[in-house]
Amino acid sequence: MTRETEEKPKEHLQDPTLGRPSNVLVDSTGSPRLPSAQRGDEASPTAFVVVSLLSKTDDRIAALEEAHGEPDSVHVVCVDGRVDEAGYDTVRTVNRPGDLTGLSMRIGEVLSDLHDDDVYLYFDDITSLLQYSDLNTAYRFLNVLTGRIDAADGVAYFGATPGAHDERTVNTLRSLFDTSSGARS
Amino acid sequence: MIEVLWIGNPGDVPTGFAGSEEFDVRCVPVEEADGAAQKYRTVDCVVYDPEGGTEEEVLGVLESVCDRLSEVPCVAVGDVEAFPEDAYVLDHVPKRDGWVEVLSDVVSAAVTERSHTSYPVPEDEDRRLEKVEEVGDLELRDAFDRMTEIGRHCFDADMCFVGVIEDRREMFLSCRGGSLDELPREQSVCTYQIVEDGVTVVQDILDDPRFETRERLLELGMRFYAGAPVKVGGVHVGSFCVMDAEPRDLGEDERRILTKFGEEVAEKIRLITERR
Repeated sequence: MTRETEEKPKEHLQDPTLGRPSNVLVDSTGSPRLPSAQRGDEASPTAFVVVSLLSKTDDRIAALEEAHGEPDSVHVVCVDGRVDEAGYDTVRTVNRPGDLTGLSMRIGEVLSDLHDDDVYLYFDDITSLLQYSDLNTAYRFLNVLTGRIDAADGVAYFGATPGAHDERTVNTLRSLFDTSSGARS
Repeated sequence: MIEVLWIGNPGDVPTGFAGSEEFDVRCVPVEEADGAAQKYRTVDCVVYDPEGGTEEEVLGVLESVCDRLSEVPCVAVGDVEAFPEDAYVLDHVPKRDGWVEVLSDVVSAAVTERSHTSYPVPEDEDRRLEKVEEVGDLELRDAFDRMTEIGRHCFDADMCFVGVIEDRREMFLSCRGGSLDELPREQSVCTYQIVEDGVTVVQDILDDPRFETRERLLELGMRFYAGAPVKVGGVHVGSFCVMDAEPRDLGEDERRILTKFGEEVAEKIRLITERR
């Protein structure tokens, strides 16, 4: 969406609890409150990126705004036809939620374009990802994505549904994240 | 220096990347990608520039690179419209303002953070690999044959082995009940053992989501796995393991004994090191 130009102070709405970079596992059920994070370079514009396999893009943007205030730009990577493209600064799409090649390409593009921005990303969500992919491919996909967040000194939240995955899957994926918030699995 | 295999038109490699002190870049044209993926198996990262390539060409390169160098980070640059859906997971840096700087950051982070593996890596991996290299220099092949022979009978298992996890493969120092020399790291159960502290038990490999796509492992026909740490100088270099064709569990006493086998292997490595 093209944001209003009214100047607002970019201060945190919550006390920051996360350092930078951070990759955080969060409970994606309901309307979770996201842990806030230290601000990146104060001079850099803030950018939200929502990667969505579901249809809750605006809910995730609202959650990011609650934690980090209003951004300078909002970017979406989603399945074709799932969002109104007019509502965001950029929208990149894949044909199918299981197209991890396309997803990783589109995410790489948007993070390259936002190389100089203060990036906050929400991945929605791991539970859906595992419906379309085996654990090993999902692990590599998430490993590449968390690596890009680290390289960009950004902050990313990865939603998952508690109780939806077996212990081996959870323990394997947990190693990718710096911390978890309200997500038992 | 990070060794990069660049697949694409040699004239398109940006001097800001190829001339960097951080990267040692070998460039091969697309038609030589398959041979290069076999020849340069130790590269740290692959960068693929598909400029003008057809979907068939792109798929051919991805099959060569991502299959042969499956544990190596792969980054596509430029136009990726011809990329097939749902083929492989790789990173992407489009050629826009400042892209060479972005690519440098992405390649550097992917290699140092090992962010393209499909399995967890221990937090102390760099230190661990240094110790693994020291152990590798000891020429320990067959040094544990008696131990694995006893272990196989002790646990009534089809296979017993001592494995050391290197950067991209597991080397078997001794294996009874099978003829394993090495496995790609991603195909090895011990890859998951070395990120745990104690004994690892997989009651049924066929019922474990971590191994459902590990074809080389599944070809062994083994269902049950139990492995105990082999720690040298406090570093987890490998495992003492048993495998069986039938699913089963391991009792508390058996776990304790398996742990002792792992400790014995570590102790023998320590003594051999001291004698050198």
